Amino acid sequence: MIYLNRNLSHLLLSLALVILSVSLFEPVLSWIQVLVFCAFVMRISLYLGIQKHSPSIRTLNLLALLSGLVLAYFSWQLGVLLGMVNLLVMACSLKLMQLRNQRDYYQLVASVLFLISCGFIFEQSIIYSLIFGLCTVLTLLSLLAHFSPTIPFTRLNKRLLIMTLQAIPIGILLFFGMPKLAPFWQMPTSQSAETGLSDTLTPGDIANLSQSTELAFRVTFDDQIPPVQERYWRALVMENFDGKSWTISRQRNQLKRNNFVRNDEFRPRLSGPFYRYEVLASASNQRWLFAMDIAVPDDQRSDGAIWQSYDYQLMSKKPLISNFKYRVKSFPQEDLNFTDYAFDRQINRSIPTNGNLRTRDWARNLRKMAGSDRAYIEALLDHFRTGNYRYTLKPELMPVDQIDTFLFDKQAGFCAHYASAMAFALRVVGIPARVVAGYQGGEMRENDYLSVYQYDAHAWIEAWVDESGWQRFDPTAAVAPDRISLGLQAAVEDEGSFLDNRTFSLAKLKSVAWINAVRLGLADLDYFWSRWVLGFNTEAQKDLFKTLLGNLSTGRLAALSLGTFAAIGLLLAIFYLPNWHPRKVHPADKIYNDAQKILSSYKIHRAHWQGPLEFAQKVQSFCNDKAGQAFTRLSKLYIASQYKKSDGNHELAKKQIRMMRSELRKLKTALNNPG
Amino acid sequence: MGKLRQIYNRFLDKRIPVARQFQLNHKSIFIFPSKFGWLYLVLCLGIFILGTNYQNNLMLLLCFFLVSLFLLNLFVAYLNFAKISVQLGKTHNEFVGERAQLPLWFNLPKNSTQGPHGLVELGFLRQSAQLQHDLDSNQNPVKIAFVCEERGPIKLPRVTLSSFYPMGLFRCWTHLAFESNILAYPKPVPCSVQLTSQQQSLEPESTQSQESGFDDFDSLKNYRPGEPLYHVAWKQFAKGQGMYSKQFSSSVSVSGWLNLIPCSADVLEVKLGQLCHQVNELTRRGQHFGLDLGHHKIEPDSGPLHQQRCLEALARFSWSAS
Amino acid sequence: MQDKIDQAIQQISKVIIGKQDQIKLALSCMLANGHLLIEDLPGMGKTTLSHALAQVFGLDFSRIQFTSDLLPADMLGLNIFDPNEQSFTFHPGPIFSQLVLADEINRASPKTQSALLEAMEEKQVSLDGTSHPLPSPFFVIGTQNPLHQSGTYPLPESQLDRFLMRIQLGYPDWQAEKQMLQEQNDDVTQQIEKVMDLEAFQQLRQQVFTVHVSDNILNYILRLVTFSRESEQFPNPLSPRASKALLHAAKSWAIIAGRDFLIPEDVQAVLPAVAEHRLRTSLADFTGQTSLSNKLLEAVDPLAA
Repeated sequence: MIYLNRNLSHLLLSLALVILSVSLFEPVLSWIQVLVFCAFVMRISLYLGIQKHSPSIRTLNLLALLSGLVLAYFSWQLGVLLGMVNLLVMACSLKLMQLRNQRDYYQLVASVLFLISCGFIFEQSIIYSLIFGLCTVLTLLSLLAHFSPTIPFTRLNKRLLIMTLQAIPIGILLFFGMPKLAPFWQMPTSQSAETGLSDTLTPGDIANLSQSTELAFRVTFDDQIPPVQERYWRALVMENFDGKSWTISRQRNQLKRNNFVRNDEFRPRLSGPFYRYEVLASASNQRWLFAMDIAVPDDQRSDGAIWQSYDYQLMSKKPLISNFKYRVKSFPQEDLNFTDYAFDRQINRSIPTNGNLRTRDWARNLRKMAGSDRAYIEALLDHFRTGNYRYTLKPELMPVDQIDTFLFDKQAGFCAHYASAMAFALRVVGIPARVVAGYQGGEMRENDYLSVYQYDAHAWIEAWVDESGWQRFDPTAAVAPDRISLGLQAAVEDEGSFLDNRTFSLAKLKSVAWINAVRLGLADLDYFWSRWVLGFNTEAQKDLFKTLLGNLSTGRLAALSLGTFAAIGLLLAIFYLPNWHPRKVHPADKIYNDAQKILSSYKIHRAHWQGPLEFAQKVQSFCNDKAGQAFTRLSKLYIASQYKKSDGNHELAKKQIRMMRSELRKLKTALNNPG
Repeated sequence: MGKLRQIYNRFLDKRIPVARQFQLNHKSIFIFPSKFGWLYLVLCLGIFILGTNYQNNLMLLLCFFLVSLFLLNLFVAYLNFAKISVQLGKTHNEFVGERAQLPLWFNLPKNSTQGPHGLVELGFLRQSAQLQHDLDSNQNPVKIAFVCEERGPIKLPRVTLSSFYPMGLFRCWTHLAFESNILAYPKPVPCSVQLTSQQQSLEPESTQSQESGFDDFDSLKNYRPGEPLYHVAWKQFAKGQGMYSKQFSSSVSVSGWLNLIPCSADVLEVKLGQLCHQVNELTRRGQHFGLDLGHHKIEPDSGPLHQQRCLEALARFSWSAS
Repeated sequence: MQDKIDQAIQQISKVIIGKQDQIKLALSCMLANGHLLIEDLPGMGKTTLSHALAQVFGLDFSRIQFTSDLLPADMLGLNIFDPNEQSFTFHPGPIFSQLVLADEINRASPKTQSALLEAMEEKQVSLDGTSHPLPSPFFVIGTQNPLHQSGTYPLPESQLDRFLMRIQLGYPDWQAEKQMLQEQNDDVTQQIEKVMDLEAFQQLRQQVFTVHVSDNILNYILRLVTFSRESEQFPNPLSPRASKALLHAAKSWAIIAGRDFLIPEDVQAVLPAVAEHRLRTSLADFTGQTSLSNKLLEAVDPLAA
């Protein structure tokens, strides 16, 4: 069979592979995509009979060798994970071209299934899950077609549909019932430029971050929802400035590490009003978490998974390789007044020795004129407010002395530019200041939950003034108040740069009511998806078990796993027990068989070759008259229903069945009361 | 090894006794994951490890879906295979060295959707599969060939049916022992026909003569009044060649005997082969002949039935039979 | 129509006493447009039956006595040279009748037999390049004597199935024979009246095609023929031609029984006549043994779903 060119199963498999590789557009190198496509075209032409022979082994070996060499060259840049995935896709495409015997086919099927699972490393949204689901279905269809090549395609689909519908509940039972395990070992991760914040802030770079519609995290508030101006989601604190980029201070990192080793965790004492909420962070492969100031973990589980550091940052103890859910309590009115005075002063006042001279002079002058630190800060913000500054997502590149260039020449930039400039201006005059990166705002969905997207990323500053603690200042708010109160899109509305490198994005069309409704509906779906499917982790499983079992004693857990298996067994029984005796009996046949059974209990048997008419005559000669007549009438009805032209008259058929039933009853009574 | 094989054969004999027809059931079906099934399980394990390491629920879901599909396949494969009902059709005797055809009939229910599906591989026990049969485009009977190696009644090796339906994850198979009464005739050894008029006399003689009959046109003869008009050769008459009457003839054969004796034990097989050849040859010519095997004689006759009787006697021949 | 069929049966029963089933079979054979082979000892009424059949339907009838020296031309006719006209003219043989009784068909040489069978199949006679169509309807009733076989040429198996049915008449029972002996008149043909004309007969034949055949019946027929192919008991399995013949004959039987649909009993009634001569290998095992067609019938349950 495998040598047949016109092979549906191969075509389906190649279709699965080509869809898969296209959907893995980012991780898979484009020339490998081309290779896959070539293999696909080749399969199609083989199927349609345009081409008669697949390429020779020698050609393929040569191609494999060349591709392997090229891939080896690229793999230096790709890293382990991408390298492996690319290798797998390449191998699949070559196998698809070859595909000579059963073994090739099996290997290819297994590889494609494995690739599908690898796809989930890169993409986990509903859309991609559906696409990968489609690929799985195509692969399974291909398998079905391979082992029963002449079944019509529609029947094949039906068969697969039935099996899939049967397999899904069992799979879900296994998913919820099987204990979730901790990772066995650390896996290589994919580094994607787009996902998440970066731990360096270089305002001179282009505005990349704001253009991603990917979800950063979602928040579900317990009761009160903070107003949008208060929604500053702290993620990173950057204290080191080298004249160009803000980064996390090396000393700070060192200190954190030491604290972690000494188990010296920051535990602020907090009081006053607070917000309680749950955050569901998307996988970012990083450890920083998101919360409003001042945040502490709200329950024991979150406390165990989160490490709090002295810069008010919440860190996960493990990188977020998958979605992570945690509960937090935020006290917005508390001061951030903890400081290790000498240390903080030292790293938060240091500036590079040279560069940005104009700013230095200007700042010193302004400080002199202001008189006090606080007045100086007000003057700075005022400068941003009243000066000819513009908020834009398309700032020009500022390669040298970027703060000077920004403040005095271009006067256009986004949050990072303003934050960077202001923090620098504060440090110049000896006020401790640092840049905080995180998110601001977020989209509220009918008081249910708040979605924060990557384009909500923001940067602001914190300065230590009047010894009252770290205070938040947002120069961007001074320049573009809309950015804070209405969101990014409103802030750049005139410019039209919101998501303008995404030609097709629903988020862009927020103004069209129904599209927005669709978008928000999808967001709801996505929320459900990430909360219950992607976010179902060990803790969620434990919670589920707890609600099911009460407590988690070993006995109960054992009972639960037994129950899971019992449920699976039950499902299987429901699916297949009816098939054990698959014969479907026509109602007329059934009644006639019942009549025969009754008669045979009176020792009147139908010889198995006897037709109904002949048997009726025999019965008549063996029984009393009444019974004989009843059975003869029944037989006549049976003959009419089985052999007469029916014309599709269902009413008549039903009537016949009814009459047969009544004759059967008459037969019974006549046999029971002879004479 | 041989011992193990014997034990296995005994086990099979007990579990699947010889019969003409089989409805496969739990007793006769063996089921086990195929090579691809194992590969699939390894794949599932791989996805599980990957999913756990990445804490990726979708991977785990995919893994569990594939595992449950594996589980379902076990049932689907078994139920499908258990729908097969197969029986041996009419077999024919063959000469040693020739391939005897075993026609296998797959009985299918009237509704094709209820019947078994997929490809079935057929072959003999401990041999590779001979052919694939597609139950969805069922064409009865399916013939598998079997080389007759020894003269006499043949004991068929077990026929192995196996199926990978629906997804190749499981192999269902069975070893069926069909009851057969195939006889292997001796292998014909070419030689000249040696027919004797008397039993055991070695004189060959002419075996044919012509006799007036009605089968074939033979010659023209002068027409004599009284002969039927239908015999008149009208074409000749029309040419003005005068009235002729057509003469017909048919050949009638003379009967003789084929003798086995004298014969020594070491040339017995060759001798039987020669007799076999002669029986075929004489039947082809339509001659009457008898067969004398010493203790067993078959009276002169002709025709395929007679040929069959003679060949069967040759096939079953043994010295001790007397 | 039904009463005409009943009348016909009644008329024939007057001369073939106590053989209702055989008469019905012969009738259904004619309705199914098939040829009939009667196999029986001499003196059992083969010729009478043929005569009677011709009589009731008003068909012209001829009888050919097959002997070993019968040549094809004796039967088919021949081109005779007419010296006056200097040309050949065709003199049709006795086969040119609507109902032909080929008596003792196995006595003729294979050549003559095959000429007859060919004419039966083609419904025409080809002679010297011209074909002469046989009349319509055209029936052949062949008879064979199964016992005296020396010097005969049994019909080859491959050609036996040109006959739709083969029936045996058998001895009449006591009562019937007694009644027969009491009959005064010896000339049987005079007792029989014609019950329908050719047009009515043809109409009846058309009616056969309208008989409804349910799926259950088709499955039953298929189970029967498949069983004959699978089982070792049947050396000659039933061919697709046989299953077609079986269906057609059963439909005619249903018409005679006055039904417009088939029931298993119809198939069972005609099966021995239709199938027996196709299942047998040779005439040799004609007597004795239980008939193969009954074995076949007994093996298959008509009601099995």
